[in-house]
Amino acid sequence: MEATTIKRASLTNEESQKAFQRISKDLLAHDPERGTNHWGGAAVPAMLLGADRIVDFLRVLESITGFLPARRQSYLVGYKSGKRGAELVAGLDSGKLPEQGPWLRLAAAAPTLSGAGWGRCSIEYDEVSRAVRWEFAQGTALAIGALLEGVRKDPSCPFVAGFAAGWTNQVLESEFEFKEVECVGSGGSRCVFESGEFIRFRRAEVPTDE
Amino acid sequence: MQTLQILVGNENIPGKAPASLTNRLQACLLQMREVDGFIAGVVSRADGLVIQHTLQSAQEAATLCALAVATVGSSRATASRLGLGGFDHGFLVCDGGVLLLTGAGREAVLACLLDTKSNLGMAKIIMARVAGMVETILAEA
Repeated sequence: MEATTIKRASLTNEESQKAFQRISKDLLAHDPERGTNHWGGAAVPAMLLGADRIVDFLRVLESITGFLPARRQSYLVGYKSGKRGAELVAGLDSGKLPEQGPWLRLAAAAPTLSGAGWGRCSIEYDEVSRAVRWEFAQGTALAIGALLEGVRKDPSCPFVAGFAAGWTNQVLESEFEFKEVECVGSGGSRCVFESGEFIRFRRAEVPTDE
Repeated sequence: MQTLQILVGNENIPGKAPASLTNRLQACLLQMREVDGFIAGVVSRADGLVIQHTLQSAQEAATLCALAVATVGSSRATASRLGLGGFDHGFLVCDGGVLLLTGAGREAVLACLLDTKSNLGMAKIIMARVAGMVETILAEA
């Protein structure tokens, strides 16, 4: 039997519940003077905000510029968030674990996102090809929120695609782009994000004047 | 502009077309030099990622690509809502220069900066030719 080169991180319901306790409760502090919350000791306040409102930012922008330019701006914001998130989580765990290699730091995204309420995902990493795949079997919170207002023509989660790229590139020191290849928000059964070197957009995603 | 610079300028966001593609596109872009007053040009992926450019810095190219696709996108939306049909090309004529924009197939946008003394009719003809070449190269890649 051939040894597999694919590593996979996923969560059980219990693990997701435990991650919620840590990420959304234990690591969240309240500043009663200002009425703000702060996560993991960060100075920037963390806010509870409906997922559908995040999608609204995409909706407004795409109504002005079309989907792809709006997608990219959303992706770039997500990228920054993913990159900083990976740095922050690595900082929280430093010294508490023997040594966290790149794979463990990549895998740490799964409990972090589930615990933060972004959706429960599994992450696959092919050690040979270095391909990375993030799958939210029930959809991301953004896609679930978007779907409540109807099925979209285009994916609803470029922010998460950017987040996956930022986190992955930070921990693997890679230079991937990520593309949302399936999306609950546009009628799919799950949300899937895959790494690539230089993504090309399917014909259906490219704007037409027809 | 500042917002775009925050997004595209302060982070090194990966995404790079292969050299086999960019080399061919650079040869195309340089044909825009036939236009008197040509300053710089970019080939942008339809979402605003820089594919190739002739600017001094990658930061400037990223900003121009982001603005170019947003301008073409909003022009398409405007044309559609006014019942004017498909977008072909656009000139943004300003006090300090001219921005010429056109689609290069469905996957890319071609944008060129010209000075105010340029012959815009000639620029349009040459740009249409270059855009066709860019489209062909992308289709083959």
